[in-house]
Amino acid sequence: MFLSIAFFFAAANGAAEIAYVAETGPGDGAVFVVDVAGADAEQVGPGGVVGAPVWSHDGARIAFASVSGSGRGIFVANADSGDGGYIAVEDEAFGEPAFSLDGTRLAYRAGAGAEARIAVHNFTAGDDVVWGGEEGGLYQPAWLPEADMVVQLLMPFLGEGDEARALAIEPDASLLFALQVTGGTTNPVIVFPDHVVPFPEAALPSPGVYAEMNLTLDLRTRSLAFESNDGGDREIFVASFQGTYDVSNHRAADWNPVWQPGGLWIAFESFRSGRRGIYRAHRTTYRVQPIVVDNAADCWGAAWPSDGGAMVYVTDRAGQADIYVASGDGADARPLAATTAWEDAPVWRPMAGW
Amino acid sequence: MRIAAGLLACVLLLAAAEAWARDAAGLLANIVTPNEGRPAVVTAGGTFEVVLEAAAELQLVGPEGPIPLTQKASTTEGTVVVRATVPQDTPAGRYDIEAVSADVRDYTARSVWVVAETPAVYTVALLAEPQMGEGTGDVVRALVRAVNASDTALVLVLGNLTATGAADEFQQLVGALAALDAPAFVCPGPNDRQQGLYEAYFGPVPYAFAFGPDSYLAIDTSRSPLGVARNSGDLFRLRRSIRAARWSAGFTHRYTPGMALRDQLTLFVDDPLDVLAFGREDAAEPADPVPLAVGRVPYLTVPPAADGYVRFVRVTATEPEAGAAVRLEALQAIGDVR
Repeated sequence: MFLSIAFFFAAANGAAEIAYVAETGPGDGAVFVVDVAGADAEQVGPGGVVGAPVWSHDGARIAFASVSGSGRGIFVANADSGDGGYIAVEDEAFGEPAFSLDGTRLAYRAGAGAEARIAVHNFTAGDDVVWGGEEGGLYQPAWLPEADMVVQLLMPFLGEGDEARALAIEPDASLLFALQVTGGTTNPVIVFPDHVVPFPEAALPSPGVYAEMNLTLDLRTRSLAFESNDGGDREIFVASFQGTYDVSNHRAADWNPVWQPGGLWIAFESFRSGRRGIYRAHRTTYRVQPIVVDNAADCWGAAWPSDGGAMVYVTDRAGQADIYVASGDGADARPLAATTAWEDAPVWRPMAGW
Repeated sequence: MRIAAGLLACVLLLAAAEAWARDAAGLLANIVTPNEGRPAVVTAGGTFEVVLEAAAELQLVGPEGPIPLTQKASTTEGTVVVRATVPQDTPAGRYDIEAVSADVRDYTARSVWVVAETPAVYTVALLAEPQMGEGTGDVVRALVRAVNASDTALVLVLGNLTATGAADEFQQLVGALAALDAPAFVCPGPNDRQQGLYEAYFGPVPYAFAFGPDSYLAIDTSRSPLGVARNSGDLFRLRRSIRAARWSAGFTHRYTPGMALRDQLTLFVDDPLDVLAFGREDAAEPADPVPLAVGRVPYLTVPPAADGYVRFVRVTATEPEAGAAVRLEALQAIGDVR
């Protein structure tokens, strides 16, 4: 069900804009969009309890989990007109919306733990379908652009009897990467509309029971970055047709991989200096460089626009979480909004033509 | 004896009401920690941490008068963190702590416990959902008497601490904590967030503290139910900071599989706690308990204090032994003995 609710929201399509979450009162928050040039932030959709926002790939819509007086579910807003409405979700826990590349569908998690399912909302048909057959424990859906790309990525790792070889037979299949919480751990899987296929073991760092998280795909280099506790603490790995490698190796934990535009570097968060800082690793040489590190504060949530010319991140250097905007290499940082509210989860509006 | 114990509790409660320093509304002022819900437990000659809004001279205040503390201060993220050392000849007991600067004198009552030694084997009392303000004052005061009548060395109070998060409810709770004969540490539930006052009464969460050879981690699962984890970095660092403990135990309002996946991996998989304690809605143990979504951390649940329940855990060198939750009627017999 898609309930229509209109909210005022003005934004110039194509401008450098950022969506983020901010606290609006005790226990309440809202999603805002702001022009980095300094215009006032505009609230998108209803306030209440909200999750991290995501943009559609054409930058036309924003989606986020929301519980408010207007409804509960995934709120989808037109970024320019302000029209929006809920994809209603009855589960107590839900979130992690992800637009398909063509914008016709939106996947999201409904439920939590072993009961978590991936549902796919079709904007044309207006219906919601649970993917993955009877499989539960599915988190963090991420659309794959084409099965052929996955075949190229994974085929070197597939044995003769591997289920994922079916991808080669149905190259036009729609599918998702996701994380399956099962047996007390988390494993990457490929989700079809009616079944789930485990990630081929050979594509994972080493044999054993490890917990992976945050799979993120770079379309340009056809490489997959993810984090795993393989090796004893959390590390960032990159899987490509060349193999799967630890690119961040350090005894401190490394989290939350994000591809920088161009696909040569993977940014991530690390505790190697004591506090959580933002670093990057080169995808082929594994050279690691600090981007934003503060010995007295945590820095996290880095995001870049498509051209890589700027970045945003979150830091608690002023005592609470605030979003900062900086040049693409982290220099010349300034607070994004002059507020005292808690802010988090910034994400750039995709630029036209990228 | 029962009458005497009751009178003593009443006297303690009255004394606590008059002794609240904080500010006129009962909110924390210059001293953020330690406070009545997050005290310091230290041996004579030992060191503990004090977090201040502004630099000040610190001293303990007890029956014998003020005891100056040796202090080493640093400033981080806009707050002053002091490592305060208790003089070697300080008698064991419960002390107020005072912070005196040029124009401000602030203190938190009964917030520093100086002990001869922290035991290796001891009893922890767990109280959940006291929901102060919901007409639960009498039952909570009775539970305080019951805990005082036991051999409890440490008390953990799990949210919801208050019914609606209102100031007068927090003040009632501070009074109840002041009446306990053992140090009590609190963590919030969603009710305690409703009016944005929790931190103003007890300081930030998550936090960790050591008790003898063991360490405890207060976890806030009451916020961000839709996945924006708010304290993941702090939680990770705190978990790492207590790795060397004999036992590392977490306590929180409630566990649900909807807890941020990042935090679940930190606490239950990458560096798993030895045990997790959390409150439950019903008095009866669930017939079919829901396991943690990830990891293999054992857990124990605590029925509501508002219904008259307390749960005791005997902590030993081998493993924490969780006793059955005991309802007040049974515990009153223990109170009679005292």
